[in-house]
Amino acid sequence: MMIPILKDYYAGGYLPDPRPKAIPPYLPNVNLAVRRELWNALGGYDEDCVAGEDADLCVRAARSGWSQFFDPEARAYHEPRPGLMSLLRQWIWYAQGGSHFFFKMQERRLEVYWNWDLTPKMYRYRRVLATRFFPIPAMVFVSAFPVWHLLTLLALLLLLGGFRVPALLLLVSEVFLLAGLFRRSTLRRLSWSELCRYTAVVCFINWTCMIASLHAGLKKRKIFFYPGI
Amino acid sequence: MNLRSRIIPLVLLLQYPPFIWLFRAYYGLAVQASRYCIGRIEGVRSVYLSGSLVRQEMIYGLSDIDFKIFVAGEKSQEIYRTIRRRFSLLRRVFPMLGSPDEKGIYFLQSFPADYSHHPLVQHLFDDRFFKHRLLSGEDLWDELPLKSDSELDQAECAFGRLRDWLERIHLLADSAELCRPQKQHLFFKAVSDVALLAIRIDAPRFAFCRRVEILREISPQLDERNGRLIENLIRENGSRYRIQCNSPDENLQLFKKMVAVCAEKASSHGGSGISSLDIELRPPLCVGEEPAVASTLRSFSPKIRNISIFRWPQLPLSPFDLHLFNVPVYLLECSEPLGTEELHHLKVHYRRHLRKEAVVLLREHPEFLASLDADLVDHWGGFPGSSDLLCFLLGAPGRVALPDRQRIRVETRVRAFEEQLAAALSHPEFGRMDLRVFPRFLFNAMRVLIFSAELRRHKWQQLFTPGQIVDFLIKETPLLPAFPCRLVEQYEKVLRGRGGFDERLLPKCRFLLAGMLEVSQGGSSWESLEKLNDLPDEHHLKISAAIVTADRPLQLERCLKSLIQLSRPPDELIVVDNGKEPHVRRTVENIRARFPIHYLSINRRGVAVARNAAVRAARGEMIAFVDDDATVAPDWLERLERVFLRDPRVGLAAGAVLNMDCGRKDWIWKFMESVEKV
Repeated sequence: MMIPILKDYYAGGYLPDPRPKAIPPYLPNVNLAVRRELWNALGGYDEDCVAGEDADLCVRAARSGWSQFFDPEARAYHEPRPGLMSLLRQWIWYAQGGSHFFFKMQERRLEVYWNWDLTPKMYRYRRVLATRFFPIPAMVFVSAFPVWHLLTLLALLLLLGGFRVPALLLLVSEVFLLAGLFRRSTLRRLSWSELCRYTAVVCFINWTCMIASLHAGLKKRKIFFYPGI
Repeated sequence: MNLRSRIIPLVLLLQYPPFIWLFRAYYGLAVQASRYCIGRIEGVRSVYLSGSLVRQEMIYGLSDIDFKIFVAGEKSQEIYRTIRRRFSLLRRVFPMLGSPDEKGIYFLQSFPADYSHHPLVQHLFDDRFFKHRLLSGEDLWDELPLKSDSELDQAECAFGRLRDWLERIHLLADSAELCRPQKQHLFFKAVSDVALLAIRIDAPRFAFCRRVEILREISPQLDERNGRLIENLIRENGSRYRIQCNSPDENLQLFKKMVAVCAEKASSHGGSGISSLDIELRPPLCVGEEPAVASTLRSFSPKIRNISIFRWPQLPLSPFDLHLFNVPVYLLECSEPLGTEELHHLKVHYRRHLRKEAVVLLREHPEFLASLDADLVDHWGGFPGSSDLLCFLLGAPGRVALPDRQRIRVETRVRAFEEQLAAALSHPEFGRMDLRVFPRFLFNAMRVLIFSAELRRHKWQQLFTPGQIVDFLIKETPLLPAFPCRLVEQYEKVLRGRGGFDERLLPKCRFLLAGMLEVSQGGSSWESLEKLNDLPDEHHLKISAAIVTADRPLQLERCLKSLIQLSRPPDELIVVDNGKEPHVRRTVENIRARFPIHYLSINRRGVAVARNAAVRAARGEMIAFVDDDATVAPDWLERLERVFLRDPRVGLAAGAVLNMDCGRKDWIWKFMESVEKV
């Protein structure tokens, strides 16, 4: 996953060294300082990247042994996109960049999104932890939204096909799982209206990105899903 | 009290024939099992049994089974780990197997390098004292490359062994983990080993079969009371610790007396071989009495007669030996030796409250100086020579001549320190040292480097406080006083908790340490530090800020305004225009700033291309990127610069990105707010 270290609830300090093939969390370009020697050594940003050149630079820097530091006190204030169209354009852009990034980083086609080499130390980044004993970061949870959509679609298809019992079982279990996960995840900090808005926007982002990344993948004759978050 | 210490008294009670056959079979089985398991490991050439099993003074229940394992080849972690793992598995079934730590496993190829000069190992391999029996493999004992007896330095052997025992007694004598018979046996072994060292100083060829013989040999040399205590020890041992004749206090006193006897003999023998290095005795700095701590210490025992306070004139063992720097030393003088209970309470108090802040030494016997902290057993320069240190501490007038042994030991330690420091300075993670710790590290390192450099010139220069170090630097070296004084200021600031070390001074500190290291290693003289005067005290990186913008003149203007208000402005600013609007250029031209602003126009070729162009146009060592729709906090560049200055291995540094409060209320804004919450 491409995880930017963006907010000030992440713990400051050195980013831990990643394992050999892992894609570590990266430092985004919004507020970044680069040493001249590093830029010379790595040959600068990758000019083929549509978006995500900062992730590419960070991964290459970490793999060459440079250290990366995150200081949450060196703040920059960022304004979100003004309208729906620009948001759409931004996420399509990110999807294209993400697909290029993953194609570049991984060698085998099937591994393209299934990056099991997720940095296991992700929990270290969070200074603010949920109080339940098994906090699921919302990030992990929402990136699985398309899976829920597909499962619901499957249940509807089953219903249409006449298999009522399996469809109902699937739907009921989905609802329970979702409810349970919601309760355990950090999403329970939001009020109901905020949660609805959050879910709606994230679904929008997910599907935009997935379609755009499918499109980008098909151009290279690969199948690739990237939910964006 | 753990399970073992509960079972042991029971086993000791049952030392009668039918049970003895059982125990013997059990021990025999343990030996066979380890012979099979360990002898089969690849690389192990022979396994020897040593210790009380071979010497026929076994006590079933108390005695451990000790091995000596010889492995072919160089030191390898793999084999080490394998052996230890197998032993730990075996120990679940046979708990009496001793763990072969560093003293039990020997690698033959590195044996000469590691051990041939090590006095303790030579002592352990001496056939007159420690017998062995071959269990499996080839017989290598006679071929081991050890120095012959005449080359051995008796006092060094004594010192190594003695130090071991002092530490062990300090740790275990009042421990609740051991049961009574275990403690009795511990004292038996301790007293007999120290007695052996004392005997060997006079008669190096002395040999024995059982420890009791050592005690019988030294008993006539002691006074009546201690002779009686020794008889009691022998009797306890003979009864397999079923009876107790000596109380723990008496045992402790006997041990201390034995150590003192050993010291006496060693110092009377060490009269020859004094080097020409004379030390001017400097009376130690006497700090005023701190009534609270001193009266608390006094309240532990009525036997404490007098408490004096000094500053510790001590040589650190490593660059990171920080917690004993410049702490007060409380010397408690006792009229009689303290009992175990009182000592125990004193030690507990010390460990809980005083450990990092003071050193407490006990002087119960004119020749015996003990510390309450087991780690400090070695620190006082060891026997023989503690009487020198006593004179030093108590400020006796006159000159003290440092004997050869002492000088060699001091020099060895200093060289080891220098090596460690060189390794630390060139280590890639050196920049990650905590800045609250760095000033103490710095001054500690400087102190030892000065000491070592002056030692090469046959001068004994021990400086204690940062102020003294800075005075020396100003007087003896061509360094200008401004920089060292700033370092002292930083040290004081960190000490009072008013902040951290200023990162901008770090690069010059590194050069200073490297220069001083070269001087102390003999490569150059103090004059070579002159070239440090040309470096600026505070290092500034040349910073270029870069913005990539596209068709957003209003947001860009907001961003530029925030950049102008930075506390540490950049040395130049580069704006790369990725779009086609003419307003952007006009916005850039209208801004007034104290730093030059360069404008580049790239026609829609992508963000990465634009950023690369910005870096190529920039002339700074650090390039800081911002987005055009973002604004920055006033201390933004200051913080990023400090990160880069602190550690030269950091290539990328970033800050947090928060939502800007620009009065928007639409659904996107609310979504971002909820993302922030989650």
